[in-house]
Amino acid sequence: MKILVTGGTGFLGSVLVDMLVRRGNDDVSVLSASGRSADGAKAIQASITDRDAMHRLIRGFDVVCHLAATVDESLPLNEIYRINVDGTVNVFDACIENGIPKVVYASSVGIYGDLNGLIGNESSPMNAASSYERTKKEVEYLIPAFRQRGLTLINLRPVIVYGPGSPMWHKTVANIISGKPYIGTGQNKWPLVHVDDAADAFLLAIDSDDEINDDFIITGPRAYPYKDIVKAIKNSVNRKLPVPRIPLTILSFLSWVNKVMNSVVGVPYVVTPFKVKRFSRDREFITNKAKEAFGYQPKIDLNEGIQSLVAYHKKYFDK
Amino acid sequence: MRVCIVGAGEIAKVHIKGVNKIEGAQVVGILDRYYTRGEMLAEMVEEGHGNPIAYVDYEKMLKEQNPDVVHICLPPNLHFSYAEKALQYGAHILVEKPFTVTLKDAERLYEIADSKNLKICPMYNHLFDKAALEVKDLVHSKSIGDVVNVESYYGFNLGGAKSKYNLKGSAHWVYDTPGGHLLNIGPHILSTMLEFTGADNVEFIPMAINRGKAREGMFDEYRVLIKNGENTGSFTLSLNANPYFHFLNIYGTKSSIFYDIANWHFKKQALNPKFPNALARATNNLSVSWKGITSTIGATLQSLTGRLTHFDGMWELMSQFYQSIEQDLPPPVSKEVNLATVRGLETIENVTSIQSV
Repeated sequence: MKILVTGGTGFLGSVLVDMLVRRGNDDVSVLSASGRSADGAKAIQASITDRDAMHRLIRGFDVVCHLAATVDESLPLNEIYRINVDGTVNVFDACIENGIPKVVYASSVGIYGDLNGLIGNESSPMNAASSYERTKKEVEYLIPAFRQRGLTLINLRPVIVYGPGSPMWHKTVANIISGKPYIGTGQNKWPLVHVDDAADAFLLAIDSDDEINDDFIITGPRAYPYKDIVKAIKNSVNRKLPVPRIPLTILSFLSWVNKVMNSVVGVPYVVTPFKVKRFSRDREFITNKAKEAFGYQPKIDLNEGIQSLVAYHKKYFDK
Repeated sequence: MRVCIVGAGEIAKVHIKGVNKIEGAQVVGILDRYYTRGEMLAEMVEEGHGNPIAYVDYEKMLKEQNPDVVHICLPPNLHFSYAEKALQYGAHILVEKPFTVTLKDAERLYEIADSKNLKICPMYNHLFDKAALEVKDLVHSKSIGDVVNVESYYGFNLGGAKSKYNLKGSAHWVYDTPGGHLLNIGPHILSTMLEFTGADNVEFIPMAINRGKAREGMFDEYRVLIKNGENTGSFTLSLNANPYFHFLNIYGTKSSIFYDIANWHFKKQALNPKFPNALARATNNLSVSWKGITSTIGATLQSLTGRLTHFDGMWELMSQFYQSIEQDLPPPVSKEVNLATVRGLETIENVTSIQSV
């Protein structure tokens, strides 16, 4: 199969490209703004925000996996929307115009925002709150119209993806090892999926029946209380570490003080009320839809996943 | 009153906060090219001030919501077409600055509004800050005699390390619109000056240069002379000088006002029939210092207690505009000042563009 992966140099994209190359029977191309690629894959340098380039370059593929997006919420709002929404529209439009048979798109469970204590599935209400989450929700609003125009689009919504190579998780592990406190009691559940499992879901979607044209949440084996994640990290570094906690109410108060000081005298943000709220979200998704449609089954549990993450970054943590 | 907001960017948030303060005003629709940005803004609408629906289709919003007032909070090149459509649907319009890019467009909007008995208001909020309201009262009551000359300065170091006005990213319209920096800041400078020089027969003599902050063919330094009958004025707009400073000095036949717009205080210079002697110079300085101390303490206390904010002028202008609609009064910014402001910006841009060629 001729497969194009946009964002194939990112965290999840690079693992997917590596898997595609390793299985050996595909002609894999990676489209990225940097022009970088992976061994065994062709590099195409272009930005998804360049509409003409998308129409010129996205042709002749059997499947397009669209993973390119920015998660950098420090960018101006216009810029995040330009990349994540306008860029995605450019890719989807090009796919329709050039008759691409199948698109696999990386959305996110971020579209659901806070689940308000309920267990989430594909039909849960979309309460996206952050700018990144809202851009993903915006695309979700547009997807039915693309399908109506004839696009076969498998829309995958992974939960929080973790594993080797993730800058966010590198920072999380470094924080825990350096003894920085975590927020609250740690009872709040984080829905995690290992990057290898998430990439496997994309592979299965690529190979799935042609009539599948639907939305799927991609979960790990289960959601984990944050304290269990911290414990798994501690165990994997094989070191006795103190893990201090900071009560949620105190950090919430400090974040509001920070907010007021920022608006009155320009004190830079250390922590925002929104970040505190997001960190302490209690979320769990339970669904079999992806399993029933194309046989997706997560394989990597928390301890194994965290071990792979810590092993990858070990050289930094040992310093 | 049923209110629709067009454009869900940063400035629209301030408009929503303003509507939240107006009794009886209900935000019923928010238009943006993205639904989720409209939804984000809708969350800011307080209880009792509507439960707005997010739209991406302007006509659909106007048809379904039938607004009394439409706020245009879009990039300037879109102001005319969206404002025109709102007027055609019978809504009063409040338009962000710059009102329109060309005088022809501005005149056309007034033509439509006049024919339908609708009101127009540009967001020239610097005329409505608390201190500005006092200054206007003093000048219009002839407390400083007749206005002779008005001078203004507006400067900051765009993109400098400590600049408050570092417009993030390159996506801001000022970078892509011809005369962008002038269109962004010029309406504040000109509208405040023309309020005091008069706007009926005003002429503009501009010059401009680019020290490197603006793109090629654009400018970052403007100097403009203004003449309206016997009244004169001049202003400087600098995107290179630090710190951020914005003042307006109004020189009258009896007395003068020094209005520090950046720091929200003004000083009316004491009447001095003769040139000052040594004692008068000292007491003048003391008087200026004392006024500075009392204004600073007052503004700081009001700011800390939330009674004075950066957006008070905008909210005051909105309040006055809504009042003018309800009571069928003239809008808070006159047609004359608005059209002269648009004409001034267009003239400055045209003349300086020719200079650059």
